[in-house]
Amino acid sequence: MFAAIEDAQVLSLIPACQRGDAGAVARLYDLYAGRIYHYVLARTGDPHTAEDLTADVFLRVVQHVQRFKLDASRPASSVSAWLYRIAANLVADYHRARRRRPLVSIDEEAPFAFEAPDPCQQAERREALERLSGGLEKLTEDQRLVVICKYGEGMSNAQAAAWLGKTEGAIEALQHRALRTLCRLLGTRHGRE
Amino acid sequence: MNDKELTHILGHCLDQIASGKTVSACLAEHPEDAAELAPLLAMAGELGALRDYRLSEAARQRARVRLLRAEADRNNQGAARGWQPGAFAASRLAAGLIVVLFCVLLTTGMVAASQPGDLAYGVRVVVERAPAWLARGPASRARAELGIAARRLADLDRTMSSQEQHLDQRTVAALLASAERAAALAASLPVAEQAEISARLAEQARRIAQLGQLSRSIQSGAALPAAAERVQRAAEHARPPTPPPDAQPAGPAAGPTRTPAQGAHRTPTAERTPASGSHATQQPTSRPAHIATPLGPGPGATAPHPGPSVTPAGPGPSATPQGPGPSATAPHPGPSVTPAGPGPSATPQGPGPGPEATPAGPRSDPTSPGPGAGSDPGEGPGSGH
Repeated sequence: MFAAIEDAQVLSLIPACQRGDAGAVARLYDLYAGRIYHYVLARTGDPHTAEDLTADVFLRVVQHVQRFKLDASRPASSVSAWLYRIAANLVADYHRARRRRPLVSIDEEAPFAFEAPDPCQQAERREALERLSGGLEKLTEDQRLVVICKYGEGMSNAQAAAWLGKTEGAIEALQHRALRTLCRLLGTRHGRE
Repeated sequence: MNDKELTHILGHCLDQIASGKTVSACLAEHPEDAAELAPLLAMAGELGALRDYRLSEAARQRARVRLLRAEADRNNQGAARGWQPGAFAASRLAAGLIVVLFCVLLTTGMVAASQPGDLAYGVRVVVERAPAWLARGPASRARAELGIAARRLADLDRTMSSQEQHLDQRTVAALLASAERAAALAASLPVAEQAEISARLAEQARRIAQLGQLSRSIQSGAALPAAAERVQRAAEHARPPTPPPDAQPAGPAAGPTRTPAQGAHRTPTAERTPASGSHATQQPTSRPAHIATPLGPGPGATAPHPGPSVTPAGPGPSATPQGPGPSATAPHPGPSVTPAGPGPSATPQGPGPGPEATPAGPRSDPTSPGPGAGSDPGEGPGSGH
């Protein structure tokens, strides 16, 4: 399921984006959008918000790609790091705005409910996702990225290590600490049951 | 078991689960760590729920549309920016020019408004020499120098009218320099122009002397008479050549300070100070005769003028009809009577408030301590020049 992004792809796409090639921007979106979506989803716990914010990440890419300096030694990783940084900023803005926004009743969020064939199941999934995202927000950025790469994208330790520019040992350690922290914060489903 | 070993076992278990093994089978492989591993593996299972969420195709399409639009906008802006650098540079240049112009105007205003003693006054003195630099020919240059000297004299006048009377040496130096340049330039000019320059310089010398008498400070009280002396000397220097010797009268010399070399046409006039007491008293003769105001009669002397070029009613610029020398001991008690000499700087009956008396005026009273050193009764301290 996880499709690796080749350095060669990035090396041709980024200069094309910098020249204003709309097709290159669309290809860059197709390559990275899924990963960024999972990152945003894990941090917001809301699929719709994650979709919007993912699109916003790539809009910012269009605005700032001229100033982006590609790391020729690890092109794909440098682009993903840049995209995750933009996403992290947008998520932080989102959480800030959410804190200022008054609470809305569940009736106002009806559109999401209508999408599900089984509203109860949908609400349960949504609750689980929100619970997970609340825990993920408490992790460090490295721990969070490892969790998202491994459980959102299904990467192996080696792939996550290559993607995040770390060693496999570091990925294993980060994963362990992340799971332990989440257990402590959230408990487990079995524990709760 | 230490943390590192547990990390390794956890990783191994997760890999096995990912490849299809069950959680209980993994825990059974590590019974001693099962208590620690179980919640971690359960949490990993929960996190697997993230994989159930996928970016929908509809959301991807919407995002692509937004991106294409944004890219088009960026390209349009870039195209618009293509025209901007020139306009941008022009606007920056214009802004720069406005700032420079403002600074120039501000500086010019400051310099123009500067007064003696100000920081910018030195600049003003230099800048106001421009007419002399631009003038062509000795005649116009001499006139320009006279004009500059007149400006400096006006500054001096303003200074002495002020409360502090703080004399700026730059004013005096510039005045003297211009006066002496004018006198030097006069040498190459026709006689009429020489006479005019000489007269104007003499007038300025008189004015400086008057200002010196008004001075209350020691500094200006010493500097101004000296300056007046130098300007007077310049006036003498600029004076046209002496007439032929046959015009010399037979009478005795007007005063002991006159020398034959100074020309008989000169009418020596003693400079008097208000402190001189009796106007009939003879002035000290230590000052050269050529410094004396040309038109002023002696200090109270009324003896017939012995000068060869004296014409009793003559309008000549330097003729004083009956002015004896400064040291003449004539019985006339009048302080500075100029009977009929209507020369350019002698105004016998001028209405001015000058300190000098006219023959009919009250200043003819020998006891009047008029401070005027010159003979121009119409030229008071405030009468200008």
